[in-house]
Amino acid sequence: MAQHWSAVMAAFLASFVEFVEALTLVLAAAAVRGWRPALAGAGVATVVLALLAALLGPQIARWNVPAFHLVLGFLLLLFGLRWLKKAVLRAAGVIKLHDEAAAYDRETRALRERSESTAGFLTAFNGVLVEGIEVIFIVLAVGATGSNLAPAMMGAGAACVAVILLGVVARKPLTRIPENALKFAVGVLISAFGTFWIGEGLRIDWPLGDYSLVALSLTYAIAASLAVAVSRPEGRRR
Amino acid sequence: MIQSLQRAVSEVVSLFIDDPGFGLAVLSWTVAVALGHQHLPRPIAGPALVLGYAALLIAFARRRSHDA
Repeated sequence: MAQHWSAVMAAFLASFVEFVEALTLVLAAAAVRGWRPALAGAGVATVVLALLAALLGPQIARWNVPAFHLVLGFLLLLFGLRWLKKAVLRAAGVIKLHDEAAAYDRETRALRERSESTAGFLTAFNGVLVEGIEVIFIVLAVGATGSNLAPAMMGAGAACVAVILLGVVARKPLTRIPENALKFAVGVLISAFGTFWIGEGLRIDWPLGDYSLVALSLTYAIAASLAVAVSRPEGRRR
Repeated sequence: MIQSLQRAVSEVVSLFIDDPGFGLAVLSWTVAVALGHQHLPRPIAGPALVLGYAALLIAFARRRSHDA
């Protein structure tokens, strides 16, 4: 049960962040080249992603062996720790916060400089495909280990619907989303999942069973908060 | 399509690209625990695994902030 809820949360939060970034690119394409090529690009990318997920999902779910848990766990851990380290450095003020409005401006400027007629379609297509492949990786990696595929898909689906609804309402990049806090939470959850599955792959006994995921998440949350405190530039430490 | 796939794959393993030292340290700790966990008391191996990664996160974040 703890594993299912962790899978829903991890997939929802990670997918939400990725979909927000994809939405920015679709909106930029729509603003410069019109809604038709932007929606067509996003639509075609969605079909490609659905085919990819339908192809890979059942295959990956079948590989329920320790060596596979170990490899997938390690990939998840790399992905999670990277997000977590970036979120820590942003929270500490070492690197700049990700700015969705700046990304939108950069993309619209680049689109205005491009002359080819397919630029709007390609920008939306590439944006949705790249972010979507990351979502598929997260959903499959979180879901394939154990029986979490359905909860992970539910989480990602809910995130997709939420971002589309917010995009339809706002009609502009979602700049007020606390993206770094979300990335911090995603980093914590994905790192916890990765560590759990590395342990399963190594046949390590987790003292609390599935509830070890909660303890692992807490450990990473505390470690990341400590990392923020010790990474602050000298003048900003309290 | 291929470019998008390449970008997505590089995102997954980009800890090795962004900060190779951190990536290698995580890999080394995983290998060390894989080789040594059978010699540890059973309830200690799991906590040792996560505490190692947590310590590496703190150390490498601090190092990056000092380099900045």
